[in-house]
Amino acid sequence: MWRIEVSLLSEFTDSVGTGTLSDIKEDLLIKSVESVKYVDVYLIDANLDENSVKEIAEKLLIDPITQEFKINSEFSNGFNWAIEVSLHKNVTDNVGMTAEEGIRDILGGKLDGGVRTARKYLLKGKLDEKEVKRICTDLLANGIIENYSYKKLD
Amino acid sequence: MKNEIKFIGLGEKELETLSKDMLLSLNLKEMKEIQEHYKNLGREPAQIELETLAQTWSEHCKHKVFNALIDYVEDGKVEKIDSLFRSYIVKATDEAGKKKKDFLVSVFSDNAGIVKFNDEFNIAFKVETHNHPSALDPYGGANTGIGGVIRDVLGCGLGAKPIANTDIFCFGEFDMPAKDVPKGILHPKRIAKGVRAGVRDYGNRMGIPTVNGAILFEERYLGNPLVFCGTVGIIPKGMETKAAKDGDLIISVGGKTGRDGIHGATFSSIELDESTSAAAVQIGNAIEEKKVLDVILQARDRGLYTAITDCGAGGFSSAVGEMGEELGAEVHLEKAPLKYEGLAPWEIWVSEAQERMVLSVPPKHEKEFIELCANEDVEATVIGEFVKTGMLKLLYNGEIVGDLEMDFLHNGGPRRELKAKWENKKEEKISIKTGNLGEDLRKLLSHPNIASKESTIRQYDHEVQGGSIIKPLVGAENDGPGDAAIVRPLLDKNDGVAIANGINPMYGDIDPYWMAASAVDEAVRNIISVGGNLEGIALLDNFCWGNPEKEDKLGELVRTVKGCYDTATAYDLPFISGKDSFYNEFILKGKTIAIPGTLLISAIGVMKDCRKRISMDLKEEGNLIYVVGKTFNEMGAGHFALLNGIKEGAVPKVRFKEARKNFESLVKAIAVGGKNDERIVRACHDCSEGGLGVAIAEMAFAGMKSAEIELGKVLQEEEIKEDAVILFSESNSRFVVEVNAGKKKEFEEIMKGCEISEIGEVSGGNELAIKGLSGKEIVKENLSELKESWKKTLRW
Repeated sequence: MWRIEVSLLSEFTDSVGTGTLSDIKEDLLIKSVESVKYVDVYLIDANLDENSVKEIAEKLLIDPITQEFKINSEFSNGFNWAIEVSLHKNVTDNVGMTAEEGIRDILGGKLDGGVRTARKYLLKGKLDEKEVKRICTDLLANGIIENYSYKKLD
Repeated sequence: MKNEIKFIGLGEKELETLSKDMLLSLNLKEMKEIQEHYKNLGREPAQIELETLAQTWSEHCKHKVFNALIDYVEDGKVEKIDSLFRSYIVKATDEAGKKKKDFLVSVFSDNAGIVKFNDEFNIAFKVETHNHPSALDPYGGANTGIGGVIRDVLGCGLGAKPIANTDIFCFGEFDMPAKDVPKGILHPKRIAKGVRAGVRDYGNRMGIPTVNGAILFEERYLGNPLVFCGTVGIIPKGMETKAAKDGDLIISVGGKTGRDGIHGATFSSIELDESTSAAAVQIGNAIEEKKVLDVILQARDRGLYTAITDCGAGGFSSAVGEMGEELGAEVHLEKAPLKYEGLAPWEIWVSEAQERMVLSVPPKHEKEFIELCANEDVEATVIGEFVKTGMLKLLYNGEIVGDLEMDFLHNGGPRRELKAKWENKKEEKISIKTGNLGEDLRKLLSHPNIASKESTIRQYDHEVQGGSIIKPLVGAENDGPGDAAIVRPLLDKNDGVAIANGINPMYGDIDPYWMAASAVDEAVRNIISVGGNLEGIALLDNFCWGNPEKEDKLGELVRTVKGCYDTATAYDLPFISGKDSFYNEFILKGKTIAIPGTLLISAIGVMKDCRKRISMDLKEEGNLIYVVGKTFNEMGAGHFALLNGIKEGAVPKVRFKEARKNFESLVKAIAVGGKNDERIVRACHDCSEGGLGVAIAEMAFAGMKSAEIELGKVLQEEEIKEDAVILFSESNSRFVVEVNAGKKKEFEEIMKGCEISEIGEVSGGNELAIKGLSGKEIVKENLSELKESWKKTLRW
């Protein structure tokens, strides 16, 4: 399983992150959150070598002008919590399916596996676990179609 | 046959249990008719056959309530209604059709209604609801709501090209404290944001402008938000009819089939409760649908297929069943492309996976069609053929898994017999003590139903395709509320189409008849306000209701439908399509919360020359301000009453004869002149929520031009003695009009015999000044502050 994380370069406005920040403050009334960064996650469950994965990330998954990526390691610098939301296994993941098509194009047709995606939110601020859980259930994840997980970062 | 269900020997109790366990949503009478049918055949039904019958006979597909026999009792007087649909809706259309020769092209028979646009093209229009899915997953629900209605338009006739979207939402109160939201329900603000994002992402990614809409907030929508999605399309003349031929191939185009949204059609007949599962959730993919759209329009122009329909509720079952109704069909279910392994044949058959269309393609075009699809990276698969057998034969790997008579499928099923009841309440006119009217005006402007929807509108692309003539936001600073949108679909022609809506569910709390009349009147006013005319208007009716088996709820529906008929015929307007959604009720701790019976009237107005458009913002100092229409003491269920907790008052009525005369004359006045200084009317705004006060304030701050008016000059019912009533009564059929100062005589000449009153003028400065009945100034408000009151509520 390969994990590719894609994030905006810091000089660009992260509109998903700032939108999520104001939703947390205004709708959930959790004021201790200071900033939110949004990260796209692609999980490729296929037999690939590292060079191919790098090629896929560079050519398909990022916009090289505005975005950067990490393979099998995570963006987390300076944040206190990470939340990850993904669709239930049996729910259609359109972005994942489109990524599969793109990968097949890059690799010349072969891909012995599939791609699923996840949305990752990095949170900065003095938040307790109860608040983080509430951000998951009341804002970011819809239990009917999505799973969530969170972890405290050092 | 494989997968037979033990059925013909069952007793009544067991039939009911089976219907419930299989999620068929068929009542006992229907189950017994099916039992009788299979007894005569001498065999048990297969599971897939029961699923097909349940889907075809579902409320969603068959509109059983609108076709029911109804015993209606109004104030003790009994009336037998043989189909609300035929007795009122179709009748209104027939009557209008006789007067508007050639205007109606295809009504009630297809996925969307079609009317004449110009000599080469027709216009298609459809509005759908996607309420239950949006309550569970707001983003996905709205996504697939939009996706579905776009496919309705793409699948009407031989395929119309979508040119504009319109979206109307009703949500619970967005500022409700989170702790008061019951378990199992999403917070109304979360639903609102999710729905908005869903509409935005789908519409924008498809490249279709979202140009019109409305958002209402009311506590009874807490468990059942309403999401209306509409699409307007354009279709070449002669492409409005379709018919699959014997021997045509059945081809599935677009997305693959998965377990998404199984039972969505039957689900719409079930009341939601705390345990409702994910079964009805579908996931939308706008990019896939855009590819399907592009390939179908090419195939249409090459004449490669004979019929098309969308795969919506009920999936293949509904699409193939409908297309083959007059013929018969044979489907090989194993051929359908799947998202993953392991689907049972019946799941493939009823899955509501998105972005699929079904086409009938003559064998001689098969190769060309499949190649065209392959070139555009769209999957197209032959899954069977239409054959003149009168049977719907379903096979899986060569084995027959279902064999149904088309006739029984489409014409079987008992008619529903329902009871309805309505009692007229006595209305009383109320007197309101006039307080600080400036403050009242600011509060009304901040009311969420009236407040600026800019934060939503700005997320939607309303410019794509390049034809938006009147945009959703108008005026000096591009932030005033336009009455209707105008789109010019052919960039080398001046023909235009105006798009508007009318909705005011609160009036229904007093009398649904006048709710319906007001909704039709409002939609028409909006079209006229931008330069449209009565001749070019066609209507859609969308009903969202509670449980129709409850006599009082059905009584409200009957009143509403009667109101629709009377108003539409008074203005000679046809209904061309519509939709109903029942059981919008939520059971919470044993208590049923029903939505207010909600009627949405959507209108399109065909305009010969969209350069005659007009916007609502005040234009020029020195111009005169008129009110067209008479003001009555009708404060009941209006926004002033809502704000101040007033329960009494008369609901706004429509005086059909006077209203029509006002409309027709105003249309003439607006059409005069080309350049600005030649025109008589410079601005026109519909007087609706919040009455005259809100209308004039919006015109002033949209144009950033001050206005001075006198309430004593407003043409009014004699008994009005309070400023607040004149200012905030929501009487129908009224407009506020800015008239060119040099064209007073011409205006009054054209409006001769109409209810008009000159009430003031556009003045210098930055204020709205209103003199009361006493002659004293009672309101003096800074325009920027008024605008801020209007903008601040929904800035999220």
